[in-house]
Amino acid sequence: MIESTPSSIACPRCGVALPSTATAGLCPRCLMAEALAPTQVEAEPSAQPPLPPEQIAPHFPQLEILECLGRGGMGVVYKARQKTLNRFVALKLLPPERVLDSRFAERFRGEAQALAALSHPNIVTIHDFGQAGGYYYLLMEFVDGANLRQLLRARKFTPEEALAIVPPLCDALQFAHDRGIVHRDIKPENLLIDITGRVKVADFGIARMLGTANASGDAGEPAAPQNTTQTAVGTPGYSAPEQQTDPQRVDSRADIYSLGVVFYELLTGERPGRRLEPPSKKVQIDVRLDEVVLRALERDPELRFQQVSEVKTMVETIVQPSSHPPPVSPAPDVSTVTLSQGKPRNMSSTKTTIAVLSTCILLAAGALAIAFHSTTGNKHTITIRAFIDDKDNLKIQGNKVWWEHELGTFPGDPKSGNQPTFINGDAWRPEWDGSNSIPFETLAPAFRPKAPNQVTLTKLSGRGDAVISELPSPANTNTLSVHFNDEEGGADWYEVSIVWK
Amino acid sequence: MSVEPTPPTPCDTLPRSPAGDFRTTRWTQVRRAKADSPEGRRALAELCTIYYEPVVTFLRCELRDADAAREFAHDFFAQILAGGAIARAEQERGRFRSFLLGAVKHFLSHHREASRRLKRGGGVENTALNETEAQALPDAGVLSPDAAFDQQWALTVLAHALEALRRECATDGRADFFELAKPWLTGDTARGDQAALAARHGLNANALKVAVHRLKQRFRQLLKVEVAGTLDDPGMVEAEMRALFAALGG
Repeated sequence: MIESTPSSIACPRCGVALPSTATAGLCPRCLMAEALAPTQVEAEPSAQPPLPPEQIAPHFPQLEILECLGRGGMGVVYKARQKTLNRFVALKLLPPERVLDSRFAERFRGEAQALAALSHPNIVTIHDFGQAGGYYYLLMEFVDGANLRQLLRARKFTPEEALAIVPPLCDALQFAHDRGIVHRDIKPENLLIDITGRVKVADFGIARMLGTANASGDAGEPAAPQNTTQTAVGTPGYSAPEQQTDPQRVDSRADIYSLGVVFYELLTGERPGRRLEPPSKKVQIDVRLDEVVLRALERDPELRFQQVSEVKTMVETIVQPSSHPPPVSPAPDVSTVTLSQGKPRNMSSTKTTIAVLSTCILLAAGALAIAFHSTTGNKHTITIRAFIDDKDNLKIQGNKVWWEHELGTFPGDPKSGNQPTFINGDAWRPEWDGSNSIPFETLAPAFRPKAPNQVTLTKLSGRGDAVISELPSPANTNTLSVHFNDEEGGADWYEVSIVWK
Repeated sequence: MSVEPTPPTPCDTLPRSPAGDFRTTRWTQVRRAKADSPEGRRALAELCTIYYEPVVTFLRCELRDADAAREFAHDFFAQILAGGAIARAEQERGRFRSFLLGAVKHFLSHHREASRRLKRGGGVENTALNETEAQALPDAGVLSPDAAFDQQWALTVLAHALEALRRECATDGRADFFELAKPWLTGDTARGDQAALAARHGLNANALKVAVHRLKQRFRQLLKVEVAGTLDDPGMVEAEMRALFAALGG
């Protein structure tokens, strides 16, 4: 007699009843189905499959080629280790079949040099470039993470997650635009999220490097092959209308359009269709975001935002705190000055003299922080509310305040005694002045703080108490380090108030 | 600029973990082993240990008797380990799964033949249905023995890959993460859970997405290694996986 199989309940997803005890309680069929679905984007069928690492290695003696990371229209990328510096890098080989014209080498060099000068935390850095083994190559920062396309396929983004991506993306684009570089191919495949959640834009300017009709108006170039879907005109669905119709006149506003498409897709899960439906009609979001997205998607560049930074500013004025809002109900209302542990106190006598100079919303990896600066008389206060845990450090030095955190918050390698894990091949350094800094200039242009007079820490959520464990020493009054000692553990909302008189 | 590549290999190459290499070549090892070589027999024995369950399941379906199934399985594997099946292995290309099923069937029919001879006084061909054959008639709601074998094979493969992943995570000190994140291996789950998991591990939501994505990728790799270990040609991994998916009722 056949034994009846235990624990065979029909799976709610696929409807099939299979025993799941062996597969840790998971439906075996769904497990297999999911494993069969590819996570890599299907690359366009290119002329030949990529060479295995062993074939590449002889041309790059300074690198240890580890594995092929992926393939797209812009070339094949390998993970490698730079032997001398002992760090991971990404080696991108440009597809030889795309190198169609005699002036490619010159254009490649020019573009690559310009790209190498783009040093920004949200832009994948170019370390080197050249030619080897018959391929043009770029040596880039290795980003340990996934691209937005892969993440979008896995699961839809919440509005908060989408809104966490857009501002750093704007920073990256504005930085490049300020230096005369237009990306031309912004799309989820080119937006990487590393393991700490940081956004990095990849493949800046590659479109132009490989393209034909470029802004310098070289009309004598041969046309791109018909069977390619990605050319200097960008990727269908993401490229601005003028990239198709009028490529000579493409400028930084084309990136804004593409950003709009990505933004739309992040919010709604789909790209904008023929008839542009406002995102708020498809998902529950603040309707003010419609305006931002739709304006970015204006077909006429003149009607779009003219600067990417405008997109960021608008988003920041709209954005709500994350799913963990501070339980203290006032929104950043700087008529409230926190002077002591706990309760915000309205100082009615000083209300009239308090003015908010600026609010800066910082979405650094691992922390959502809202910082604002207020003055009463000649007393300056910086107040920062952030959702952090006791592994984070708030640092103030000179005229900057920033977060540091133990990056890679998985428990570390037990053999090394729970050390923080690595990102990009570097160990986390305590003095790391990362991109999470808020220069006081952005908050208070005329303000140059010296050593603060008073620092208070308030834990706004969760049980237990937190204590400032490290204050500036008399010898080093310029640096304040606040390390929270939270008995409960885990992340919570804190408010730190730093006062200078 | 003429680089002459050797026959291109797929970009999605199998991971180079030591276990991966070993498993990958195991079936190939068996096939290429000399008839009585210790390496060949050891490799075959190892494969048999791993894929023991499907054989038992098949026999249970065939014999309609759990105890008999276990006994037969025991005898069958004893014979395999004694080197009886290596010669057959050389003929069977491609898949260990096909080989094993074929070997079990062969073993079973051989024993039935022998027992029939014993019962009926030897040598007399009997066309009447004996007990076991009658019970082997297909039943509407139940899988055929072959299908049951394949289904159990698929379950075994998945279980091993999952266990390998669990062990990896545990070694990295990420046992809790594995436990909490494993539902995502079957696809999407409620959004609320991700937010809680993210908060618990001090990750922002996007970092968690990447971590989950990684876990899924790693599972896929381990599953492919598991499957490839039973194939002669690693290029057939996807096809084998699809066949196993079909065996799960796909």
